[in-house]
Amino acid sequence: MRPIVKKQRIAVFTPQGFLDGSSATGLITMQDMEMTRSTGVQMILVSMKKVVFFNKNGITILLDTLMKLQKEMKATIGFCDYNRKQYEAFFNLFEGEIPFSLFKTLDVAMLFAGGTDSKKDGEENVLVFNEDSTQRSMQAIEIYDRGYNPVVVQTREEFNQRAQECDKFVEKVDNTYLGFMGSKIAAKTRGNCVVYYLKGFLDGSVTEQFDVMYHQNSLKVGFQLFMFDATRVSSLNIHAANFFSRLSTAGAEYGALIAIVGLDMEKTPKAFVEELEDAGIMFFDTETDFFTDEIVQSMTGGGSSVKKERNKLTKPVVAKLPVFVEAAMGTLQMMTNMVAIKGDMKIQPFVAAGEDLMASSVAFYGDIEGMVTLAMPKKLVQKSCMLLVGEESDDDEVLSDALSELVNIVAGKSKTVLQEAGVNINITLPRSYTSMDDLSATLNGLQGVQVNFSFDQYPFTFYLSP
Amino acid sequence: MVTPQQIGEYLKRVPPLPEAIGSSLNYLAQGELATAAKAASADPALIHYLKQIVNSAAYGFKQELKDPMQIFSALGTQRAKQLLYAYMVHSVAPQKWGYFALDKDGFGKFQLSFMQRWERVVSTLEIDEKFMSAAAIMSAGLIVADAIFADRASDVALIKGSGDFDLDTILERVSRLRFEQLVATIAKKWDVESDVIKLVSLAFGKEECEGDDLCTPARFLHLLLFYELSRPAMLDAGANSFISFNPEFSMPVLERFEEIVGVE
Repeated sequence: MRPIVKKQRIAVFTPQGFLDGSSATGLITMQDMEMTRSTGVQMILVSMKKVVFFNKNGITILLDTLMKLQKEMKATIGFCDYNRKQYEAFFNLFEGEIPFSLFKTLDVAMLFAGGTDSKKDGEENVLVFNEDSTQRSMQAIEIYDRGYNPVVVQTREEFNQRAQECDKFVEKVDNTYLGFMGSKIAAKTRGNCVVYYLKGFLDGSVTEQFDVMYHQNSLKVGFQLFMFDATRVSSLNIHAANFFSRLSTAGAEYGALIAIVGLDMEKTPKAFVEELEDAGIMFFDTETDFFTDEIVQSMTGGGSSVKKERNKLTKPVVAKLPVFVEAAMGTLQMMTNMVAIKGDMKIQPFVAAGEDLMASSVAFYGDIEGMVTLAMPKKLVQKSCMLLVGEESDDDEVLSDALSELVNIVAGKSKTVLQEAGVNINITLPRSYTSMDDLSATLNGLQGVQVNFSFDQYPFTFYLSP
Repeated sequence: MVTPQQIGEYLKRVPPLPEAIGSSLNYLAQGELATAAKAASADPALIHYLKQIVNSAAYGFKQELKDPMQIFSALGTQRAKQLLYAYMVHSVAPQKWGYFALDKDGFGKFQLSFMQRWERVVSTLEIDEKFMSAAAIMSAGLIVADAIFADRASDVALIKGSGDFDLDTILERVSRLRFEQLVATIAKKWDVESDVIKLVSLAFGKEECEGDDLCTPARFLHLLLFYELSRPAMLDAGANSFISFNPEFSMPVLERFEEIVGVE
C-alpha cells in the first residue's frame, strides 16, 4: 500500500478493515518502504480511521517494518486517527510499554511534525491533556518547541470544558502519546515567512537536525524571509555559526533574508555575531521587531533583491513547456469534465487574467529548473477541486489547500512524463496565493511563458517562470 | 475523467445470461436440480468451471465429481445458484486486469474465499439461503472498477496521492454514480432476485439501514468484504481501497463476525 505524503512531513498508510498477523505482512511492501524512504519525511504513521480490528500480531509485524524505517530515516513512527477504545487497546496489548507514538488525529500529528501553516497572527494556543503527568509535560514542551503556546489542563473534565472554546485553540491534544520523537528542527510558515524554532545549545548537530530539503524547497517556491526563533537557545558554537553563515550565502541567489530572533547576545561570542552579520544575517530582539522592520516589510511577497540565476528561462525548460501545459490541461479536464480551449501564449511577466483569482505555484528542480503557476477564478477552483474536496466549498482555506493539491497533481503528472523521456525532476511543496499582488511580488516581474486557456466561461492561466 | 455515458457503454457490453445458465437458474428456482444440471450441460465452459471449483480443496468433497448431475446434487439448489452467478462474474472478468494487480486465478481465489466464508455466515445466522449468491454478485464490483479505471490508473494514482480516496468516492465525484448502482444494474441484467440485489447494495455500507430486515446480513457482508480485501494478496493488488470501509456500519456485528469467521 502506497503512503500518502502530507506536506512532505508525514507519510500515512491508511489500511481498511482488518490488521491481523496475516494482513499486516502485506501492508507495507519493500516497494512501499523504498517509496517512503525517498520522501524523506519526519513521521511515518498508520491511520486507524478505517481499521475495525487489530491484534498484537498485526501491530508487531507492522512495527518491525516501521522500526526499520525509523532507524534509517530517524523518523517518528506510530499510529493516528484512532478512537478511545483503540487508544486503550494499544496500551493493553503492549502492557503500557509502547515503543511508538500515538496521535489522536493527523492534524495533531502534523503539529508535532512541525509542518503547519499559521492559522492566525499572534499567539497560537494548543490545549493539552494527558492522564499521565510525564506525558503531559513532554507534550507541552514539544508543542512549545514548535512555536505554539501549550495550555495544559490537569483533568479530563477541564479539558472537555475548555475544548468548547473553539476559537481559543488552534488544536486540542488528548489521547496522544509521544514515544521516540525525531529531532528535526520544527518549521511553520507565517504568511510569506518561514519560521524555524531552535532550542538548547546549538552545535554541529544543527546540520543534521535542519531539514535542508524543506528549506531549499521553500526558496525555490519563492519564500524569501526566513526567521530563526532562538529565544530558547542558550548559546551556539563555531560549527552552528558556520552553518547559518553557509545557509545565508546559499540563499543569496534567491534574494533570501535570514534573521535570528531572540538570541541571548550576552552568551553569544561577539565574533560569531559579526561573522553572521557579514554573511547577511540580521538579528532582532523580538518577533515583533522582525515583522515590523522596514527591510523585512519591503520583502513581504517578493523582495527586491536581484535573483542572479533565476532571471531567465533556459532553453531545455522551454523545450519541455508542452509537457507541463498538457499536464495542466489534462488534469483540469479530468477534474472538471470540461473541455479546455487554448488561447494565446506569450513570453512576458505574469499578467492576471480574470477576476477573483486564486493561484498556486510549485517549483521543480533537477535536470531542469523552474516554477509552474496556475491561476484561475475561485469559481473554477471550486469546480476543479470538487473531486478532491467532495463539495463546492466556499472556504478559502479549503480551496487554497485543494488548489495546492491540484498543482501537485499537475507537477506529478509532468514529472512522470519527463521521467519517461529521461528528464528527472523533483518537486517542491506547492505555495498558494489568494492575492494576485502577492503572486506578482513573488514573480517579481520575471519574464516567463504565459499560456491562457478557457474552461467554459472561466479563464485559466498557466505560467512557467524561471 | 470518466463520464456517465462511458459507464453506460461499458454496462451495455456486459452480456446477459446465456440461455443455458438462464434455464438452469429457472429450474433451480423450482427446485429441479436434475433438470437444472441438464440445462447447464449445454454450456461446456460452465461445466468445466464447476468441475474445477467443486473438486478444489476448498469444497472438500471426498470423491471427484465428474458429471453435471453429480455436481448439482452435491451442491444443492442455493450453492449451485451461487456458483452459476460466480461463473457469470468470472466470465466477465478481464483476461488482463488493468487497474488492480490481479489475474483470473487471483480473482478466482478471492471470490471463492469470499463466497465460502459468506456461506458460513449465512448458515450460522440461519439467513435465508437464497442470499448465498450475494457474495458472488458483490465480487463483480471489482471487475467493474477495473474496467472503469484501467486506462486511468496513473491519474487515479495521482489523485489518491493527495488523499485517502477510494475508487468509489472518485467514481461518485466524477460521474455521480456508485459501484453499488453499477453492480445492481448488472445483477438485474442477470435476473438476480430483487432482495438479493438489495442486500448487495446495502452491503456497500453507504447508508445506515437500521430497521431494514436485510440490515444485519448487510453489515456482515460489508465486514466480510473488507476481511477479504485485507488479505495480503488483495492488499498487494491495490484492492483494499476499492470502496470506502464503514466501521460504524459494521460495528454492531463485529464480535459475532469474529466468532463465525474465526478472527483472532
